[in-house]
Amino acid sequence: MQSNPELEIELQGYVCCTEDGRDGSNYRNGSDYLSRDRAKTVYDFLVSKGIEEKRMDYKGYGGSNKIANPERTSEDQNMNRRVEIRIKKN
Amino acid sequence: MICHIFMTISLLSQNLNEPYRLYFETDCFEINPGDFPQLNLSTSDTVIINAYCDWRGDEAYNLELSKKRAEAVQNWIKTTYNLDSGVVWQRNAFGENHPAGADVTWEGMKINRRVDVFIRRKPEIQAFEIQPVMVGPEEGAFSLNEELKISLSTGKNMRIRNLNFKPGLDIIVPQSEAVLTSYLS
Repeated sequence: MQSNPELEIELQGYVCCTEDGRDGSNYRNGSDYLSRDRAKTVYDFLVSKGIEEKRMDYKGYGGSNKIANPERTSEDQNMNRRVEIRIKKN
Repeated sequence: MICHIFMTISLLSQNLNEPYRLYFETDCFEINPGDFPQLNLSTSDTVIINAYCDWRGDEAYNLELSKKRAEAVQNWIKTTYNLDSGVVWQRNAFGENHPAGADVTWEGMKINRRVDVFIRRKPEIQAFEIQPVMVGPEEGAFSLNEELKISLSTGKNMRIRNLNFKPGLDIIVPQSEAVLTSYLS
């Protein structure tokens, strides 16, 4: 992000372990948008390190687009509990 | 209109996924305090109140009615437990959406005129350790620049590899913090 100032991204949060692509609950704050909250964790980190807010968006995609599907092992769950980056502009 | 108070409360359990459930008489949002269950509440909890109606009446009216049901329950809990601050409230009015019972029967409609109360406790730190998080380096991981090139040429997303979250939380496991720092550059 620092070496490529043109780069604009969307941070996409995901959860594991839910059915039908639904989002999970965040036990820290009771929110039912865990995937968004995860994307925001990464967003907040980057903001705290001086990356301009206008270059980034964050959004929750619940349990959709699973990488490991079905989830059979804890590694599968771990893989799906994730944040992805979509390049919006480069 | 005077509502005949009819309310059944089932304390299903205090499990996170099982609500305290309250039923309401048709077109009513009054609560009979005597019927309210004992809630085990502390000021750091989040209380989630989801209110619903059966299908009768138009949609806007039912949305309003479910709002009143949610407010009535919140006010009752607030007053009874003398909670002014600390508790995080989340009120959801769903109107006639998300029925829990078959809407065509009296029995079903009775179930649909309800408020579900969830109490979410901040987990103790130790609770995170019950479910171990696997953090081995993933195979086939590329360097950041390679990932970026691939993403640009294919239009696919970059996944932040080896960035692992604690189950049920938006908190990154300590071993993964270095991964985030690498994305800065």
